[in-house]
Amino acid sequence: MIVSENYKRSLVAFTTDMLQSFRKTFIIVFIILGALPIINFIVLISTRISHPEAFITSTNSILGIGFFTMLITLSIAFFVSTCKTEVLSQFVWPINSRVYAVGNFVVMLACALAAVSGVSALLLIEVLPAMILKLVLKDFILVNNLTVQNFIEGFWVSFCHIMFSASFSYFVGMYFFRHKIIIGALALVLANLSSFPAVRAAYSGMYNFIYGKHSSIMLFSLKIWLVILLLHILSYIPLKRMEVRA
Amino acid sequence: MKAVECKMLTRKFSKITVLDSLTFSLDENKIIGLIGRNGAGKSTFLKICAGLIRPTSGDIRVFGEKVFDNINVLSRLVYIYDDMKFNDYLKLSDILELGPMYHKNWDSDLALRLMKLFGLKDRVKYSKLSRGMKSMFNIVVGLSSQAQLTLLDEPTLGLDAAVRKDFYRILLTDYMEHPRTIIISSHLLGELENLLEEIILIDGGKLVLHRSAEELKNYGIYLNGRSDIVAPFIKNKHVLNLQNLGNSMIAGIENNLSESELSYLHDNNVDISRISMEDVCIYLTRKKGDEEIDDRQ
Repeated sequence: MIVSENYKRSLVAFTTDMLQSFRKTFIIVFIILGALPIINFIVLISTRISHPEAFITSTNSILGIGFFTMLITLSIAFFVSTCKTEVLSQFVWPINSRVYAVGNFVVMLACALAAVSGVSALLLIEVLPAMILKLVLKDFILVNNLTVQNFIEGFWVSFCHIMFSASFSYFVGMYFFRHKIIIGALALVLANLSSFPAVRAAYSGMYNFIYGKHSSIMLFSLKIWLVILLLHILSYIPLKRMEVRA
Repeated sequence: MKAVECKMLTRKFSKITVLDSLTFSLDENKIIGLIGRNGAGKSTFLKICAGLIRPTSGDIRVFGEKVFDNINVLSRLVYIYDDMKFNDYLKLSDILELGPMYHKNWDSDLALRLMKLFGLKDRVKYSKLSRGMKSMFNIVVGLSSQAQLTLLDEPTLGLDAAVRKDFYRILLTDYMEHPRTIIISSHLLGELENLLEEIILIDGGKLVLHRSAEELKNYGIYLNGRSDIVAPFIKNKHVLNLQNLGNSMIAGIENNLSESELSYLHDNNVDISRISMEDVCIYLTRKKGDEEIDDRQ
């Protein structure tokens, strides 16, 4: 009972601590992303003023841009979070390897969810001005292929992809920062092996397993979450016996 | 229950033995001084105690349980050291908000009082603090956590004398209000003398001495008298230190004299005075080279 209480307290504190440190990154990224549709809106208006005869179109580009931005940001953030300095700053508090591993998984889920939700919210900033323009300008073309169903599907798939990418970076970071030379050399060898057809086929097989065409979104989800969990379990192996040394 | 129990505790880094077969136990609710020269193994011992590193061999138990990776034990201790790294993004106020989340007995009022006393501004980021201010903030975290086992590794490093005095005063007051086990490693035994209840002296990774402060205060005596009286007298004694001054001699020896020996010294006008705890520790951990330098001087 005492163990589980301590574990729970430590886990809640650790996730709060981690989320606090991600807060600033999120604010900066969302400010930049939020500025894009506004700039786009200003460009549309100025185009209209300078070229009254031009056709003006608008599409939902923020979703794509936002998705890739968040994918890269979170992948880098979780890679960096496994470096020695970061680990030292986390282990000043009473946590153990299990709290660290589970905490990182929870934080990753929360960050990925916040990222996709945030980017989806930015869609409003993009669509609302475009709708206003459409009301004002009769020849304005608003391309909006979004339906509730494909939005939900896209939301889920984006969430899965961000989770996968962040988990992969976390996994690589966990091994890389502990065995820099071995992992560096291994990465070089694996990259060079791709010139062999059999190895290239194996890489393609792995890629297709996750990203290939799927008959259903359920199958895709099952596969990608299996890989995500596997990456977190593999990341836990070096963590379990890791010493915290400056 | 013992707060810390170690049996044949050994830690090696590559081929270097930093801790060598340490065996001792520490009772709960005491202030214990961990004393030793640079490289004696003090920090390594505290890191093992704090569950940050594992022993190479032997066993260490904190509150009766293994400590490495054990959240049950880790939740009951706090380890404060010089190069602590809190998250760079966090302000001191953010860190202090995390305190009660991690530590069950965290005392927020004490934290605020200490921040005020040390003149620390809570809007500043930890990474922007000077070395002395970092030490002050580390002390704030260490004391406010009210952890059952508080490990302080050179907590006063970089602090001026006035702040050090404040720290010792606060530590003692807080300990009286909330008794717990506190282990302090330091070079400045002189300053800690009145604070400590037990002293562990280690040198070269080995346990030299584990005594109560009271016992250590009476551990050694200086005999100051004529060489022809003192020199033959100390022949079969454990000599800690020896200084020749012309026809006189000052000898530091272990304090285990009988009544008859004391009266003999008294009759021969040999002055007897107590050796300070700090000097006892210096003499017990003195290397051969140190004495040679002294002799040349």
